[in-house]
Formats: sequence, structure tokens, C-alpha cells
Amino acid sequence: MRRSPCLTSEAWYPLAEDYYATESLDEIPVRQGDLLAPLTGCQDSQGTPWLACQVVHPSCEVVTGKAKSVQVCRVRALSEHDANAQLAIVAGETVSDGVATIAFANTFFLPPPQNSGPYAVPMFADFRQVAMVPVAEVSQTERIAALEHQTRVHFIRRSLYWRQRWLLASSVVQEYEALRISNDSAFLGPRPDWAPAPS
Amino acid sequence: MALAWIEEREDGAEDVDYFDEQFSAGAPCRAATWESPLMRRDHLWRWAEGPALPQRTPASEEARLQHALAELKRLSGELQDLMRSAFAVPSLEESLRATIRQISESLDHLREESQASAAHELIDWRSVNRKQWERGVTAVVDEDGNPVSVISTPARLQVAVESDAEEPLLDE
Repeated sequence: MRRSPCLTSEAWYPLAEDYYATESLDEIPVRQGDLLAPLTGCQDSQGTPWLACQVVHPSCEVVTGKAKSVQVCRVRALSEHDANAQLAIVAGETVSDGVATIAFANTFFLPPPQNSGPYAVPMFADFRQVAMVPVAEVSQTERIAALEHQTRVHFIRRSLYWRQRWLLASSVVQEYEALRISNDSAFLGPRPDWAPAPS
Repeated sequence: MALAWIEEREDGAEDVDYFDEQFSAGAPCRAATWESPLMRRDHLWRWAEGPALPQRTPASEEARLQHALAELKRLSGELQDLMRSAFAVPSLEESLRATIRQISESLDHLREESQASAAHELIDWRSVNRKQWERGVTAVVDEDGNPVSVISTPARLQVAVESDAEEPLLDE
């Protein structure tokens, strides 16, 4: 629950501490934006498994299992880039003379989802590298972290810009996501307070 | 001349081994018993009607043996070549495997070095994350989501152009 009053931000990314769901994980199905261990097909041209993958498939098809294969994109360690690129990826933009310019639009920054192990490092998803994985493997067992609903709004906004070059305000994306959730009859798990169940 | 097979077994037949015995042409049909070392039983053979095998003279026999010896030597030579080849194949394979191992180890080493050099020192990403979020703050809202105050940030939404100075990572 957010404190009130609070700030709304049009930043590309939420605060790191607000990224991932920390409660009721068993009740939360795998959705778009969730981080998973590298699944079948998640490997580079040398056959080396990716560090992780992020679901880019629409949530409703993942939850209902309508699709036999699920689209995921590659997750890499932030340290693979030099310092300047890291700054741009974490911010999602570069600022010069007060003007913000979108940078590394093909990426989505991911703070460390775990405190130890291979996922205790900052990472980023690369929309350019995608794979189709069997829907049966897209499970809670393979999940590294589940995005908070608010973080998913940021994810959708970023991926929309990547695919369509539409620079939508976060508030607009959240409004559409709220509408989608409210009308999703197959929605499972806790709802965000900004997307109540239809009365 | 031909040999005819006599189907029925002739137990108790005359115990004389005429196997490979040469008979003069026109010899009458006669029986011969052959105890096969493989079959271990007696069969009765007999000359069929017709011309007999030509008699071999000692000279022609020597020539035949000489020819057979020469053939044996030739085959022996070929066999030795084959054996050398046969032994050389595993040796070559082992040599290839050793080379592959060396190349693989070198590649692994290079890959590790490459990854080590590719792993850059991390920036203070927490600080950058907070600053970008604060930079994007547009409003203060109450618990019902109503803006208490609005912060104008005209510059940030005016630019929807990407930086060109990006180096994509390779698929490796």
C-alpha cells in the first residue's frame, strides 16, 4: 500500500524497491514481464544458455495456456555494458542540457530480484533477442521474480515504445492496463488497487 | 564331369577317404566316402557320368603353387597396408581428438578472458534509478489519486528520438 500523499512519476522505471512482488507469490500466475530461468530455446548462437528470460507474451494467453509457445526475450547482466551504457540503460534515457533523449529503447532495466546467487546482480531485458518457449515450462517453478502490477505498466510502456515508437505517458498506459485487468474474466491473484473488479 | 550329391546318409560305408582324389577320364562311376571335418558325418559321393577332371602334371602343379604363392604374397602385402591403415586411423583419431581438446581449451580460455574483459565495473545503479524516477515526478497526489500539486516537466516528453551512439551487444 502506498503512503499518501505520494508522487506520480513519468520515469521509465519505478524505484528498484517497488519492482517485484514480494507477497502471495503462490497466488500470482506467471504474467507478462515476469523473469524466468532460461528455458528450452533460450540460448545464444554458441549454445550457451541465457542468464534469464522475461515473458513478453500477453498475460492472458500465458495464464489461460491458449498458446503452445510463449514469447520471451533475453535477460543479460548490466555489467556486460560499459559505464556510459549502464547509465543510459538504468535511466532509460540520457539527459543533456535539460533535454531527455530515449536511450537503449530495446532494453528494460531490471534491478537484482534476489539477494544472492546469479540473480543478485542488476540486469536488463533485450527486446531484440526473443525466443519461443514451451508454455508448459512457463511456470512458477521456473520463475525468478514476478513484476508488481505497477512495474508491468512501465514494462508495457517501454515495449510499446520499442515496437511502435509511441511515447505514451505512464498514466495513459496504466489507464488501459486497468481497463484490461478489470475486464479480464480469467484474472487470477491480487488486483492492483487502481484496477478493481467490475461491479 | 560333375559330382552328384547323394542325399541319403550311408552309415557304415567303406571307410576310405577319396576326397580330392583324381580319377582318370572315363572312369566308371564309383563311390567315395568323405568324412567332412565340419559336418562330422559320412556322405557318399560318386562320379557322375561325363568327362573326368583333367589330370594335373607335377609341372602344372608347381606352376599353380607358384602362382598361388605369388598371389598370397600380394595379398599379404595388401593386408599389411590395410593393417597399417587400420592402426593409423585410431592413431589419427586420437591425434584429432587431442587437437580438438587443445582448441576447445584455448577457446574456453579466450571466452573466459573475453567475458572477464566484458564484465565492466558496475555503476551506482541504485542512485541512477532513484534520480531517473525523481526526474520523472509529475505530480503529488492524495490517497485517492487526486493531484495535490502538478510539477511541470515540459522538456521530457518532447523528445522521442533515440540516441544513435548505441552499440548493441552481440549474440554471444
